[in-house]
Amino acid sequence: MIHYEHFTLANGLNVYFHQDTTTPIAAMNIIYNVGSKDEEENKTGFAHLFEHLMFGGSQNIPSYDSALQIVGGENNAFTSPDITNYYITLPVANLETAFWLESDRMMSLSFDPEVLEVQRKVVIEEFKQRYLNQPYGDVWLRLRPLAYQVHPYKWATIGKDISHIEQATMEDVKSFFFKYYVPANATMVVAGNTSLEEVKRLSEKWFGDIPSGKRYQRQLPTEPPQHQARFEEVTAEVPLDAIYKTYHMPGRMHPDYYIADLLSDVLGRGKSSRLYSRLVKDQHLFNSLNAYVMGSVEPGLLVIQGNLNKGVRIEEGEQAILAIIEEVKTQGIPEAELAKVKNKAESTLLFSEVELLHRAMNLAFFANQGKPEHINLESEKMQAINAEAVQALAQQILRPENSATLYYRAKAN
Amino acid sequence: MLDRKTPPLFHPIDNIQILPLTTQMLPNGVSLHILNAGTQPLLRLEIIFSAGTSYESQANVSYFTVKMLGEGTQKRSSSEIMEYIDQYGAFIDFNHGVERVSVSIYTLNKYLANLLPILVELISEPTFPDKEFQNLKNITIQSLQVNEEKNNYLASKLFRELLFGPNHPYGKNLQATYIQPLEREDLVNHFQKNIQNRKFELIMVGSFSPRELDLVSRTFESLTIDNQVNSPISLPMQATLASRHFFQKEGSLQSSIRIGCRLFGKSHPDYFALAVTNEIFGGYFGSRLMKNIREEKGYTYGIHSSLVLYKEDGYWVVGTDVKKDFTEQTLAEIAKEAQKMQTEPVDAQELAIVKNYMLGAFAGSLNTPFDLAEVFKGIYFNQLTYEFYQKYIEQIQNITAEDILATAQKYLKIENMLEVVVGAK
Repeated sequence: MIHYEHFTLANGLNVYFHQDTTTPIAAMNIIYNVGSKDEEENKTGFAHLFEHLMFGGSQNIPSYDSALQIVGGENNAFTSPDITNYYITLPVANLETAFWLESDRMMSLSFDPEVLEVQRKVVIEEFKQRYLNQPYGDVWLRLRPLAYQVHPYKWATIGKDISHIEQATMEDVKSFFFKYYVPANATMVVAGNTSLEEVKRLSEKWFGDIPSGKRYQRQLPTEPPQHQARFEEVTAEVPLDAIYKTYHMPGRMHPDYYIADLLSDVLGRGKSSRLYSRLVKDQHLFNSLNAYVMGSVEPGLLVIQGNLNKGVRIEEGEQAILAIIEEVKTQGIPEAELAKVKNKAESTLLFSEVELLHRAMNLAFFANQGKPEHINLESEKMQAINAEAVQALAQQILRPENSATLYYRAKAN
Repeated sequence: MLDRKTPPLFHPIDNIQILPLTTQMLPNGVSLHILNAGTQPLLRLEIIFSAGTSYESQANVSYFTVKMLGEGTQKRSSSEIMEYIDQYGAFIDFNHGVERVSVSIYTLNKYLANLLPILVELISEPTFPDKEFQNLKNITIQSLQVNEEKNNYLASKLFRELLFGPNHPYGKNLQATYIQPLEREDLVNHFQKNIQNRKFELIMVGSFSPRELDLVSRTFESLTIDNQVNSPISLPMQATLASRHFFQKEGSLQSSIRIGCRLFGKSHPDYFALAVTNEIFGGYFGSRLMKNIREEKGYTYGIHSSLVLYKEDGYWVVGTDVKKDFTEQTLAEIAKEAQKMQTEPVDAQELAIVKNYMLGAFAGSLNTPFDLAEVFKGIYFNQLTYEFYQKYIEQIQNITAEDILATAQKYLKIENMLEVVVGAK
């Protein structure tokens, strides 16, 4: 049970407080309700580039990082298709510094053109390091547009193309900031050994006078139901053939999300899962093989991916995967197997709550979705699922017409 | 009107509490180290043997021995073991290191009693089935081929190989040519010599009750332990002296750079001063290298320097992936920054930032029972005590710009460095 309290400032900033008296380190987590799905198709990669610019100095504080380091704090941030998330951990005695830093950059950035020029280069190197200069690094640059034709999930957070990052202008930066980086569009969580009164006092003091702005009303195109199987094939300088399959599934807040999550666990989480135990351990077709869900807010994907052993044809590997899927659809799963994946999900949840920052981050995520209470309901929702529901969902989503398949062939073969 | 230009008052960190693990000796000579902390009803239990690379008589055999512990016992097959552990929602890890190997289980307290018997089976009666071994060999070799496509993997591997020599435990890597000839019997031999009935250490951390502690003591005190203690096999180092090595990799967009030198073991008195010196140079996000190469020039997504210290020896290394056209410029800038560290004293503001940051980061690394177990291992296995960390804190607080200058002059000489570049220039 994660206890929390909530209040809203007059300017619309939602603040949550989670008390933990056992640690001398406090955490602050702020989500801005903007992700790469909110970008324009010809200006992709921008939400993430912007995240880098948030560290380039604000109106009154030239260096964010050193102002935090000198009080013994650490920070980082990430951008996803759904949100941009910033976090700080620091000694609780110096908590006010976090309020000072975060409120100043929410008020206004420095908009220094040199910062834009340098971060543009840094992000381009990040693009290369993570997506281009790695074996299989570009998989998601190919899979996303195959799985999504209309919804902006069709481009990756890093961007569709390096040229979009090269072309970003200071005007883009400013309009993005004033549209999304406003109190009404942010959720803040403070966690640690302090009190609600203190968090209220500091929030009023530092964030109270920031102009509200408007909560951004999202109007994204809906991905239409897929009616035909999609397929793409690529050949690249990689040592092993690989296969990736995606199936459309419900989004993170949908009641069926947890069913899909358990279904993916049955198929391919860990060494006793069906795909791994049969195709890696028994039949030696694959070198690695797993299944997982993308926890995206809007309708997401159940993904199966694996590297094939040398000498095994991708087609053969795919047939073996499909046979296992078919079995789940026609025969369902035994209660004991369902209990196993539920137990795993329960431990995963409890282990993830050991770290204070992680609790703060999860609370912020659900609060940003307007459902903070959800953080304490996950286990219950998971436990309530029965085997029939898993089979029914398997039949509903694990259909060829609902899938996209990528063959990633090794050149040498 | 709120003054936003002046930072809020802050408190320097002067008191860092480290919750210590306590040690009890079981009647059979096994040490059980425990810490009861945290709030969630869960724990991690680690069983640690001195059976890593330093103890192997054949390259890579220790790695496969520990990875195969879960692949079959006299009572259960590989899939039965995995199925059994998974049904309780537990996680098991087989770790392999230069000095030690370990089996760790992460579980909710309520399932501990179900899991202990199988842990005992894994360490006392593994059967190393040949079918599973051949499959694991095959998977490992193929995964290595994937890794060897990565410039950063290759650069790290080559750097360590050159630094210590490819046969020395600190320089040795997994390699297909070592793995191919390994046979099941080699694993059995390594197991019999270094794990079976050998003394081990138990580390149990989490939020548990006397019941769980009792279960663990009773389970492990009944095992027969012989008193034979193996010594690491000593191999001569074939270290490469300061030199530059370039490995061309076709089609690279970036070059991966490693540059550094050999140091000393963890108990060396210069460790503390060098830790601060390294932090300023390239250890944290606000470091000189990060500011220069990423934040001013934009050549890279990141650049870091670090100290890697084993018990007997260690090294210092700078690592980065840079845009290939700027490989030479980056190397020149690293040299320039190293030179500056040796000639110009660090100014007071920068020194204050780095000191407070290091103390805060250290305090922040003590959050969970798992963190505290790592802190304990950092001293225990190097024959140090918690005083080591008190000293760490004091030395950070008291170090001066002159100390840093002297340390940089002693250790950051670019002419003593080994340089490895994988990629394109």
